[in-house]
Amino acid sequence: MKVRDLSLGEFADRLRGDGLLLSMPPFVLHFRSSIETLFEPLHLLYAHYDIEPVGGLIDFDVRIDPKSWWQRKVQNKACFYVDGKHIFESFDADLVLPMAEWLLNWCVFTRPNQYFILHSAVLERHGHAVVLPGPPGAGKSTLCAALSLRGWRLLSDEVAVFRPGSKNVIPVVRPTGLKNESIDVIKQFEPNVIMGPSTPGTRKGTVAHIQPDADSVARGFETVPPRWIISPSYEAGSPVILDPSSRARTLMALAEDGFNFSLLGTTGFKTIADFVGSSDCYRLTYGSLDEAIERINQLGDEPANLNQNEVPKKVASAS
Amino acid sequence: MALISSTNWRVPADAELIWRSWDPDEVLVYHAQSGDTHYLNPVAAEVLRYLQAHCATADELTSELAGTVGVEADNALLNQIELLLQQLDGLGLIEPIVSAQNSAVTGEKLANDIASNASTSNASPPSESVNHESP
Repeated sequence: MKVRDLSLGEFADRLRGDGLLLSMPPFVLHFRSSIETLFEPLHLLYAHYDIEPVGGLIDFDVRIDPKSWWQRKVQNKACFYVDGKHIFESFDADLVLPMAEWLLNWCVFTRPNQYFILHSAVLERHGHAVVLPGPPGAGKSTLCAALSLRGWRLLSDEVAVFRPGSKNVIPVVRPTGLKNESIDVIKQFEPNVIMGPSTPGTRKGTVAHIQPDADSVARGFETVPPRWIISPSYEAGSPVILDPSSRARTLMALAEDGFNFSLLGTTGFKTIADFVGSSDCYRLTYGSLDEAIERINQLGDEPANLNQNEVPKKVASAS
Repeated sequence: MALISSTNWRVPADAELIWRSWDPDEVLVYHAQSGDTHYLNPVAAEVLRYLQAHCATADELTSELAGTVGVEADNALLNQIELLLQQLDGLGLIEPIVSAQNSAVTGEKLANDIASNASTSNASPPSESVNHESP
């Protein structure tokens, strides 16, 4: 059974009651909340996700509720509870949707230390993964959203997850988060995009989320070998420039974005080195999503760089 | 620099270093004890690899490196090596060996000598490092 098989009322009753066990591969989420403004957007964003039967193993037990009548009725605030424990400070209940998505991301970033986790978007096409690392504001999530709307399978907009000792990327498919101008950019790029409501007033400005497509969710157990690591950087008006980048420099940059590198130590280093060593590395500057996608698609049409000791050849930029 | 020139250096015996290189001009070494990853230029990598297998003074390293790359073992190269050794020591990748011959050398004297010479050197640093502390 999938979330979309429940009516909105049934979905709301489950969240208010014993909660919903949501399959979010490789994790299972137990989610509860009595905050009514969450029901409709979550029913939309998680429409294609499987509902797990009661009694199975749970990776994250999450509840979002006000902690008192006073907080609910007077202060309009809510709290996070993870594994039964109140964590973080109370927050404005009007921000509950982006805060809920942020909390689920936090669970994935910080808890499952059986995996090696990098801060990157990941997509797949023709059996190979492209990993898009980058700092906030680089244009990574916008590019990830656009690629997923043009035939690339979404693995994650936030994390590249590896089992230590394996260089295959594990999907963690979740709604893609967009901020501020990117929301309208993607709506113009793809008018049929299914997007949740925009929530203004967060620390990052206005935030909205894209419903992951049914195929990406259904294939959430399919791991993918890496092929390209592309560090994107959006510059308004820029032509597309795709420059080769050294694997050593790429690894150093990725290591700074590793969520649990310090915990995994030698195993983490070997895992990231194997992953980088198996990939062609690039820096991408772009001003147009269509041009960026065309250039990235061209990479997929080129033969793989089988000599892992070679820096990939420079790709001619479009003019 | 006389003190550094005569000091024997080595990679600690219990150090675990994991090397990766996909390009001869770029070498990565992961230091398991600190959790740091270092990006080394070829000279720094050559010196560190040598000290992983041998003990050596700055003078000996200068001669060794000059022979390997085919340059003159002059004072300029010696100064570069001495600065590199200070930096590798500061990163925790190498350690001085205090032998009976050097027993008159105190740690304070060595530190003072390094501090007084560091500001006079113009050599470029050997590496960049990423410290994998938790976010």
